Amino acid sequence: MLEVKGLRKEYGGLTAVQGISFTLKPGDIFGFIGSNGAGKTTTIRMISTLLEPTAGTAVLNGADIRRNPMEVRRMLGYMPDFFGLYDDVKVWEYLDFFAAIYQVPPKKRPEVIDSVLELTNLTVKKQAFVQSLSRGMQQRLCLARCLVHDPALLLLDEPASGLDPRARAELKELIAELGRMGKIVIVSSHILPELADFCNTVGIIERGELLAFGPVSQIVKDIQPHRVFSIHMLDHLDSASEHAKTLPGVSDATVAGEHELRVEFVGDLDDQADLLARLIQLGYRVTSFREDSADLEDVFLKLTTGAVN
Amino acid sequence: MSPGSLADWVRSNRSVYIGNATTMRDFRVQLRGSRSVLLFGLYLVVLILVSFFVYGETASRSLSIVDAQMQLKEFASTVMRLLGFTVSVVAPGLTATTIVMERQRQSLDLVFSAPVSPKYYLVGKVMSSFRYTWMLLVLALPVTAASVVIGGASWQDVLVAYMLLSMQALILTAFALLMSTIAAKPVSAIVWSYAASFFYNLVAISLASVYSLGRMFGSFGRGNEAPWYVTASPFTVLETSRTVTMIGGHSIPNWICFLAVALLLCRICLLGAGALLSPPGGKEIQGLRLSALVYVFALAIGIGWALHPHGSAPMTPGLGMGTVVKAVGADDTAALEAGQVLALCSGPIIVFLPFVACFGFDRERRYWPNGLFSIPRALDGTPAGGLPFLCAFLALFAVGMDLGALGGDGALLGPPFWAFAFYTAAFWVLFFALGRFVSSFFAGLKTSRTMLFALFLFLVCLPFPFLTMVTGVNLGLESQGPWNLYVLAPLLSRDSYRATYALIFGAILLLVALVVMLISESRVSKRLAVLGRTSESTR
Repeated sequence: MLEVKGLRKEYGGLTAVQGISFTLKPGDIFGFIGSNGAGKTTTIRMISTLLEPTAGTAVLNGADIRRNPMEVRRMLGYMPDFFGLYDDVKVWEYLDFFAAIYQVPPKKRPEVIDSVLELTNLTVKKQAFVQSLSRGMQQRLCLARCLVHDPALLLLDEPASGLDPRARAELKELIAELGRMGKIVIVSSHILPELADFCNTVGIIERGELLAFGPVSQIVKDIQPHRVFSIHMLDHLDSASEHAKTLPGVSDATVAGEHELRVEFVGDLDDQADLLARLIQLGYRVTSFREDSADLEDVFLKLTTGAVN
Repeated sequence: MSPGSLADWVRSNRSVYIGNATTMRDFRVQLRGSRSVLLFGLYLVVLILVSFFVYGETASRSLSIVDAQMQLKEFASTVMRLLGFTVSVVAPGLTATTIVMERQRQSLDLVFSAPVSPKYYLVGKVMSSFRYTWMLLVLALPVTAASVVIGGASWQDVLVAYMLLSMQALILTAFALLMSTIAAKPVSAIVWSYAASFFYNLVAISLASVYSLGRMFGSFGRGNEAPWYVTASPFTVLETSRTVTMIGGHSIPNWICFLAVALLLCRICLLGAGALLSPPGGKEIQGLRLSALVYVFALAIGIGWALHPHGSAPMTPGLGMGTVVKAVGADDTAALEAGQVLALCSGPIIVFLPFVACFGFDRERRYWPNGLFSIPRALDGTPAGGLPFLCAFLALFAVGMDLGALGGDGALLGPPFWAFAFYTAAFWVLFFALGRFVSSFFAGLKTSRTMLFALFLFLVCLPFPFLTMVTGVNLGLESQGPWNLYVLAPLLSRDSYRATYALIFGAILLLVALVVMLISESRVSKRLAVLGRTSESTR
């Protein structure tokens, strides 16, 4: 369990993070969304104990980041938005070094290294030098490094940046797998549709303030409480709009374009079927009828103003 | 200490010194591939060629047995000097980039997000660099053994010389590691590391030369007796390997004294580097400050003792201010000189004063003003603790010297000494105030530190050549002239009334310091008010 309580960070006159609070439980994959400079990395660095909070704290499985940072470090894996790889070091040596500093017993290390390499699909590169790996492989190696001590919490800062679509898909699958393994995963990213795919919780941050937090579906519902249908028809949109307003389940109907009618809808599936049937029955020549469901990107754009610290 | 905590302490220290992951990783990289084999081969070839050349020079001439013996000793010394040169070049070069490169590669964050203390990491770095240098020394063993076989040195000499070289390598490695932690770029780390190595060698060689000259003219020690510092030079290890220091009637081999000094220096450097790598208030900075206070007190006792050996002239007793003017007019030369030595020996404070006095931002590290004077914060590295720490440092220095003198000749130093102690304290408090003042512009931590150092150069170092050019060296305070305005005038003067001048200068410097501090505190308060907070709320 990770409890973030009023985490705040000030740099002189600048407040980078303004008292963020949230709670995550094992298996949660938390997407941390925000523009550049919104405070994502600062928050992640505070949770990872690399940065001292000005106020507030975070507690991971009972260990406080301020009072017991070493205990917290034993339970977390931090992957920054840069690789920080060593030159002239082989893949297994790199992992062996981190396994050693995470105090994995020497006898267990070969087994641990093999298992994380297998999980990240890098077994064939065990004897390769890290600088010879592709960007995607280096990213996976960094993730493998975070896993050598079997952490309860993974902090992944922009893990998909600079990766090609295949590498991104593989990474996504890997993160989802880690969630299934019962780890708490915090992922910060700009690529919103991808986050929506595998995150069960998201948080939107702007100017250091957490604007929204919760399951993706809940956040979308909060921001767009009604379902919206986009109905395309060839003509008579004004009268269709008036007719639509009188039908069951329809809360509002507006003409959105030359051939588009947007209907805000609160009814059930029967009402939805009746809406289409009734419009056709009334002689409107409908060419398409589809639901406009808001996604994470819509929510993000609606909640944020683009302002940065 | 309970058995449990003792066991934890042993376990944590064992992991630091045995099987340190940083050492193992660095060592793997250092010895990878054919590069290291080639380097070692080349090093051995050079060493053997030079040895052959030197030995050839010796063996090609027909000499008397005494001359031949002298030449063989010279051969052994040359080989050892070569090793001293290797240590001076390799140790800083190998270590200078270790931390700064990690910072550039951004891998430090990865290491410190793991349960790793700065001590673990830095000791690992020192061990990996030191082990490589030590391998070079071991590789040269066949060549040095040759000098034993042909009669230039004994095994004991060689082993002690190796011990001394190892300690010198350790000191230079620790210096370079500290420079690597301070520097922002690898090139500056290399330059500063070699500068530190050069400075160390310069001081060590100078001290050894002073001793040699003293021996030559028969005024310095008897037999193998010599001050411990003669063993500090890597270029005279064989000559100084058998020297001893007399302590309480017992002869202690100097290599043991030097071993203790080397380990203390290494500890100070590692604590300094650890303090730079850990957040403000970390235990490293507390350890560093506490060690600094303990060591300066011990050093001051040693200086006081050395300046006033048993049987020297008694000092003027009494510490009341009423006796000062009377005493300085009298012949209390020993107290005056002790006071001047105190002021001179405090010179190195300028190296760490910028770190104590200045505040501001350095990337993510925050040294934000949290008050001017807070005794509880004296050890935690925050700006409010700077002045109490400086005062404690200077007070311990002065008290230590006085106690040393008391132990040496059974009498405390008189008021002239304390007049100089007051002057020294006022001088450094003024520069502390200037550090606060330049920081109050909030131009960044590094800028503030650089500005303070520049101010020191401008006010203390530059006037000397300038005044010398204008009026010649005329340090007599009784004569009228621009030298009377020089901030170091009481220190450089040989006048009998210089303690009075030290008091007057001290009072003026302290007054200026207070004014500067008031101005800077006012600026800081205004700035914090603009930012909508008080200095206390910034912690």
